[in-house]
Amino acid sequence: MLEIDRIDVFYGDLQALWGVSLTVQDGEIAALVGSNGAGKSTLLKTISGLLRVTRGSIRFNGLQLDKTPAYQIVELGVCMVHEGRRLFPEMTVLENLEMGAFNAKARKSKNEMTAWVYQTFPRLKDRRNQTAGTLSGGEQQMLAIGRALMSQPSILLMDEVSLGLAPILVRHIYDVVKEINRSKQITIFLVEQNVRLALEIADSGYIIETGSIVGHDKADLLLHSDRVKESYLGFGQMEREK
Amino acid sequence: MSFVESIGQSLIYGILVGALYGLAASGLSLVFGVMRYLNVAHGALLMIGTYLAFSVSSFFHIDPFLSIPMVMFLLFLIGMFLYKLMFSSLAKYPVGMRIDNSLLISFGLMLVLESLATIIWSPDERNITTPYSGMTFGFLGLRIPYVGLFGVALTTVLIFALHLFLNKTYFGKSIKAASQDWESALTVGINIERTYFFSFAIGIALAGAAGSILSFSYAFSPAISEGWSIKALIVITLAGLGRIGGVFAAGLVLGVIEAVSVYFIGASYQQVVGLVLFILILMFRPHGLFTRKGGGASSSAENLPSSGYAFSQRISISEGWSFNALKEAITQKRFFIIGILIAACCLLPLVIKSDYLINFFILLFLYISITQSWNILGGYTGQISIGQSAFFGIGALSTRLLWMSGVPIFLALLAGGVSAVVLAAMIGLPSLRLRGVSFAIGTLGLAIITGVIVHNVFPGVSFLPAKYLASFTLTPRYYVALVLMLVTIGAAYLLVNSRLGLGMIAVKEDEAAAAATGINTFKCKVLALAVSTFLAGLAGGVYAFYSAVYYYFVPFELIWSFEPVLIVIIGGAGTIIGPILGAVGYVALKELFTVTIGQFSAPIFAILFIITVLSLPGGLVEATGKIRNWVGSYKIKKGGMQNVT
Repeated sequence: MLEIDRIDVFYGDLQALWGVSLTVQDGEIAALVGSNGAGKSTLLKTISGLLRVTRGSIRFNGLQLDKTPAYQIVELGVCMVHEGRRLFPEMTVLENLEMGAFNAKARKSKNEMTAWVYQTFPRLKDRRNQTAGTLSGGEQQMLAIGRALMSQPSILLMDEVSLGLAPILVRHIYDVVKEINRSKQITIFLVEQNVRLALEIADSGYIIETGSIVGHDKADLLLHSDRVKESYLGFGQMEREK
Repeated sequence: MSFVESIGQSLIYGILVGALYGLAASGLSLVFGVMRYLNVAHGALLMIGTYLAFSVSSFFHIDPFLSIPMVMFLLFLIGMFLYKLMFSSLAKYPVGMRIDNSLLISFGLMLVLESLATIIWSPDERNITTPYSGMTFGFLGLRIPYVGLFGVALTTVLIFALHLFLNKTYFGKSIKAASQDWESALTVGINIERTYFFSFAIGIALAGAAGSILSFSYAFSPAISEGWSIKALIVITLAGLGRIGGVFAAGLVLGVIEAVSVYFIGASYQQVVGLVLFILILMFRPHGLFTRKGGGASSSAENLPSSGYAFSQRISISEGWSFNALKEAITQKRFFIIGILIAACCLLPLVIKSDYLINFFILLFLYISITQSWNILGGYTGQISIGQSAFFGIGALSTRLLWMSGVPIFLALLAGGVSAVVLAAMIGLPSLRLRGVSFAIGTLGLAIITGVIVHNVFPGVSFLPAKYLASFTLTPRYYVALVLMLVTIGAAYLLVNSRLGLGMIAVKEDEAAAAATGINTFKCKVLALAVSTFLAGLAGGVYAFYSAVYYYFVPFELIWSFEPVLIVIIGGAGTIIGPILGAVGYVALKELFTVTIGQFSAPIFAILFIITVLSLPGGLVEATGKIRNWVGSYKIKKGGMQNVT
């Protein structure tokens, strides 16, 4: 269980997160939705140790993450898929996957994990000796997820997986994400601008606005709430006119 | 010897020295590729390697070649120590700031190592004689020295081992991964701190290997540091910055070109040919010789914000200074203070009768001028040139020659400025094609070329003729330097507050975005280059007017290129006041140390310099801004309290 308790995060003098608290239960898919610049990516980067909290705490299965170095956070089972893929562009697909299994624990079962990632994304197997920079956008996103899975995470943090992909690919990738969640019991915490998509596949949802959590509920309830419809799905105007 | 044999022999020597270039540059490339640290002390560490090889082999009475593993190990340890001591704290900054600050502190480190080596081992040249020194064997009529051959063989083995390590081991691959995307490396669980630590130490160990192999074939002294740093920088630029592969080949290419050119035009222009070719190659292949086109070039240094990030934080401060200053200057006390300062400078020679102090102020004004002139191009327009010495030098040369031939000094000074612009039009304009670090190294190449040419054409000393010497007094020179400084600061101020100045700042922040919003970026860069070089040429002219006796090549020395860069960055690039503060602090401290502690002044000054940079990564101006903020918030707090009570 991931517990975030009243954290404040700053970029220099600018405060980006204001007392954010949330909980992600084991085995669920939780979605964090909000508009551009609301602090979604900041929150994920803070959980994975790339940014540090000024106040508050982050715990994962009782272990404190907010003072742990980033590479140890991965060993504890928390792994992030960066926004915009962020692969190692001049390394091959296989090498990228190997890098995903960098920590000692994951390295032992590297081969089984690679086989499983190939099974999940057969396209990656075809392209295994190609450098990552030459893959298409969809393939890169698959590799980014595959690389994160290689570290054998208990929770996967996913930042804007749908960004810049064709709708059909987005659908496919989210089907795979659901499948990973169900078959491997990997908890998913995803961040999306595409509010409808995220809330459709998630179990629970949080809404973030200008650095603060402003709403939390079961995902389907949130999806049909007036607040979400009005602010994110553009139904407010129509319904008022009715 | 026939023509073919001579060429063949040159080729052999080229390969022998080129292999060393390649090995030395591989270490630098590893450090730059992984961390984006531009370690200009690399040559100094190589120089330490030569002396350690000397000490180890003579202390243990062993074959010099056996000392190599030991030297590598020692330099590995030194690398670890230096990383922990100085370089680790830069890892938390974005790329542009890493390049700037690593350049500064490693420059300081180079000074420290050079002067320490001079103190310990004396400045004299030495060489190591091996039992087989001088022995050669014949091959197709060519002579191949055994020592050189062993050197090349060893170098090849080391390079091969490095490639195996980087491509085949898990840890090596993690180093490559970190060089391609360090944030991403963190998220897959790579311990980036440890990766940096070991890459740095390995890079330094490779410098040690190159140094010890070099010491068996060539003479060495503490003064070789700068030359080897520059060679290594050129080789990694040639190979494509940030790429570890291809460096060895680029080193061989440079070595062979240099050696063969000796045959055609003689040894005195050997360096020039290599550099001219280097610049030409850079023009046509700005991303380096051995880079593939397309294919995920996203990690190459050119695509990273070269300096933009570091500077963009400073720009807010600069706007505060310049725009407010513009308004306030007329009405407010700042105008008053500036007036008083200028008046004080004007009255100074009437009050102070000490020649020493007047000399000091002339030097200070010269430094402020050349620094401010560089600031227009480097600080405001973001084109980090290391070629200012060429323009300063050509200004000095033209002014001196014209003045000596009877032209009135003010006309001669003007001609000095113009000659610098002409030189800029000839060689500077093409270099504007280059971006980021490539531009910096390219302009450094130009500065070396002009220096070597002038050294060869005017090897002697320039004396003032008796009729001038008889009337030589310091006071007019003081006023000329003062006017030069005021003109330079005034020109910089007016320029950066004009529309053109805004365009220049936009070019620095993001050249592509500036072009897309309709700014003629090339025009901005050209004008910045013209104004900057004109002022540098004027400053050179004043130097020529001020100095009674000097070697013609002295104003071309690279220190005139490096010091303005250091001073501007440490003062605060892209501000008017920063370079002035920086120059005052730099010149005053340097002078103070030379006067008070003599021989040890250089290392102590350099250590102080490093500490300053490490504690003020954003420059002096940012530090004053911080203090002002801090005082401001304190006042508010205090005010708030009073309101409550």
